[in-house]
Amino acid sequence: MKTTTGEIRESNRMSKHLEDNRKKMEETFAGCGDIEFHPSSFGDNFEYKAVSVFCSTLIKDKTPTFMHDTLNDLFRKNVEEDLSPERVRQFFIKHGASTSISTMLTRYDQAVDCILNGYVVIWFDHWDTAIGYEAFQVAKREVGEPIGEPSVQGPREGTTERLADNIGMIRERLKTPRLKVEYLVAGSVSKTKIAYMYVDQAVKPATLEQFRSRLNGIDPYEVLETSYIEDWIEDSTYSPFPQYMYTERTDFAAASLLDGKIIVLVSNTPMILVCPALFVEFFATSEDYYTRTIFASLIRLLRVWAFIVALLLPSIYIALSTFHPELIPTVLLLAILDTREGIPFPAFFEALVMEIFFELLREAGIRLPRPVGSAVSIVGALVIGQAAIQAKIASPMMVIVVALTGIASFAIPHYNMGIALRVLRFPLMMVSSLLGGFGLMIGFLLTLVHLTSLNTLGEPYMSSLAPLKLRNMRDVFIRAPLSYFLKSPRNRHLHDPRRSNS
Amino acid sequence: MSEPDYNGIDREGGYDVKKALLTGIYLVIATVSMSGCWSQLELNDRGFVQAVAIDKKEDGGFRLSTLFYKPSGSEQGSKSSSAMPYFTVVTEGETIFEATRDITLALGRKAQWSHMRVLLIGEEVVGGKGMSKELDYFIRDHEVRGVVSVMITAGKAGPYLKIKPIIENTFAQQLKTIGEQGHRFTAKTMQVSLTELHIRSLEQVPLSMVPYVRLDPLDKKKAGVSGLVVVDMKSGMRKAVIPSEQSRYVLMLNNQFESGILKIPCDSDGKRRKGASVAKESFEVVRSHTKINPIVHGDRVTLHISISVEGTIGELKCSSPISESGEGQFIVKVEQLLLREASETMEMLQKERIDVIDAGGRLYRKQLKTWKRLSPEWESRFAASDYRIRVKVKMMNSGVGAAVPLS
Repeated sequence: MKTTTGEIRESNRMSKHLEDNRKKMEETFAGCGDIEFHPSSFGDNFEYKAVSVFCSTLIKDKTPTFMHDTLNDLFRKNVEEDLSPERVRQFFIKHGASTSISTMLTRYDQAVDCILNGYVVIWFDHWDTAIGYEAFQVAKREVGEPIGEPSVQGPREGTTERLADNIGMIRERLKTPRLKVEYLVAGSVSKTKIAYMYVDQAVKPATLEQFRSRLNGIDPYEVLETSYIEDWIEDSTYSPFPQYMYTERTDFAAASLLDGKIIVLVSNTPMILVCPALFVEFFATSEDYYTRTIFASLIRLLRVWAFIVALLLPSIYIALSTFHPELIPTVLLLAILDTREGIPFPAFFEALVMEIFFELLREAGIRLPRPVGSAVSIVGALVIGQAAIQAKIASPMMVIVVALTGIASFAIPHYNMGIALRVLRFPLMMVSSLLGGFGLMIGFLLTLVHLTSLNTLGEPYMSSLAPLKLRNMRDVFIRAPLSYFLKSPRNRHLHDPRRSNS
Repeated sequence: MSEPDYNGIDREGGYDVKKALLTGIYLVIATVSMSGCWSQLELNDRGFVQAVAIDKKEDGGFRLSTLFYKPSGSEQGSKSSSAMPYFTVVTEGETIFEATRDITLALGRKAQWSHMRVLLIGEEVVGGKGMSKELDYFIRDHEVRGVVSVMITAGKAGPYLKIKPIIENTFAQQLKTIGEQGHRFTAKTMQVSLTELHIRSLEQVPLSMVPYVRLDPLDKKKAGVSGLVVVDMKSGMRKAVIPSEQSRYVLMLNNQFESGILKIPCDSDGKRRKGASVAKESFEVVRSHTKINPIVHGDRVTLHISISVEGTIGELKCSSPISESGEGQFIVKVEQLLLREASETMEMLQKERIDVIDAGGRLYRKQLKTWKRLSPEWESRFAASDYRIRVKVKMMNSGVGAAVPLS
């Protein structure tokens, strides 16, 4: 296929002969059973031929014959005149097609793209141009409640696998020409449509520039899900902490846009990538803004506490029980002693076994079909809760610790941050079993050092905390009343000084 | 693609992987091999000391009775009364340290001292050579906490650890709570910790009051804390025993009275007839504050003591402070009682030549030169000192709407 550009262009250009065109298409789609060729005839004596080519799995049921009908109509209206190919050509060039979306195609690769995107492409005799009609329709999931982020209050609308619908739902929330949508296509085989959106003047220009430069060069890669984009543009791939956020909620996406985020949508997946995401933003949900200030603030604080518990509780237990029993209040210690007596394993091993067991249950519960999944959790709870204790494999105190850790990690609203905690818990448990509280401190400090050195799209990951921005703290650990930050664009960035009067 | 962005981070890898790996390996090796933190021991491998009782042996060594907590395991319901959750290990040695180390020989677990509740010292130890040397080990050891309650027992200390607790897990815990709560609510005894004793031993007047543990005279299988033993912390010798009735007023003079009951005899002249049972009323002290101001004229020491007490009527039998004048009369009665009892207590202290109210310490802090002149014979100077007591009582409420006795 190593040819010069001129040659490519030459072989790409459609022929005036219908048969050549048809042959070319049949060669290209050889073996593709769902590509259909519908020949038809027109003209006074039906001496002229036309052929429509389409992918039958991609288009609406009634459209294959659509062209045929149109031609018939045309024929009837123009009885007094000769319906020559010249007439047909004039008709289409002057009037456009009778449906809203149609394109004139002059190259074969265009035609192939169109067919694979659900167009009906029609060739006529004596014309080196084909006409493409959009007739795309594939069964997709309907708009439903976002499964990953359900909420009690607020909109229940979630994204679907259809890119255009998703963009539409977001566009509907932000009616401004400043909401920009830019498309690109990646992958030579998948030809995935990617869209990124931002609100001009809300987004930091430097961030946008950074984002664009990173997205550069993704074209040859097959992108099947939004996470491919995350992997492609993220700063530190090996960090356990997520640097971008996902959402299935269009209201959350719209709020993020107002906050100056860039969102990325990929066709055939409901996940929206919100970038950049800062560490503190993982403690917030869209529902925080729909409930009352006091309650929302308390819930935020609870989540911070849950974060600490999910990260540190097993390590603290191991450190205290194996190195510093003097730090446990006496009465509590006696209670723990009663439960620990007769357990053959060291606390670290006990914790490890129970944590791994818990992770196992969780994984099994997610992957299995729902009816079986609940059986797993029942068996698991019985095994953990009862049998393990009675068999003296684990102490009740350890079960409490593991259960509390698990529940706390479920309380982190964003799944990716929960995964980070699950990953980090084990090394912390190990250092605290080796060095006690001292080791725990080292592990925690290393985590902290890592967090502060992280960047997301050029912004410090711990931003608002480090570097400290007191103005932004009203939406970190607490959620201040909305009137403090409901101006448009929401609060944080207003990069056009001319708009300061709005 | 690989050119660094404006934050200087390499886009391709994020970090220099090789460098990070080397740093990681170095850190692991360093933490495992270089730190001296090898105190790792599972809970099951430790024995948790709840109490220690020190007695003297006939030949001059020590007998150490150590009370351990015995974990019951997690089977519920099998906690029968026959299997008490504690046991005692008795070891002997020339030094305390030796005796403590020998515990492992009998127990097979390492003794953990940080959860010790009380340290009991036999009466003989304070009676003979003194107890400071025995405490030295416990103050010096890093595991033993400074908040351990120290108590002196009537007779040998060891047998007290065998007494069955009434409500707590071990008798040690019970003694500690008796000391704490008794001090707070009755003021008939007090709680003293190892650190406080240590501090007292460094004071100018190194006298300290230590709670006195005695068998219950009615039921020999029970014991409680009542009264105080005054110990000279320099020599470790016992100086005197203050009975529980009087310890209230000693604590009040010492400004350590937190709350308690004052018994007020009914007869208005306030003279106690010995043997005769006089109806008594009670006054609950909620707050008490005492100031002692030693004033020296030449060799003569005068102690100005002012006691102010706030409280409520506890029970009435004969007074009826229903009117303002009646209330005044009742307050006068309380004041008279306090004055009388405080004076009697002072007389007792002077007779025993024990300055537990720390008048010497106050003088030292206020007038160093005078103190230096007087300190060599402070005991006799204290015994010979004058004192002036001023009492002020404030009644907060009468308890019920109509302040008359129930009839």
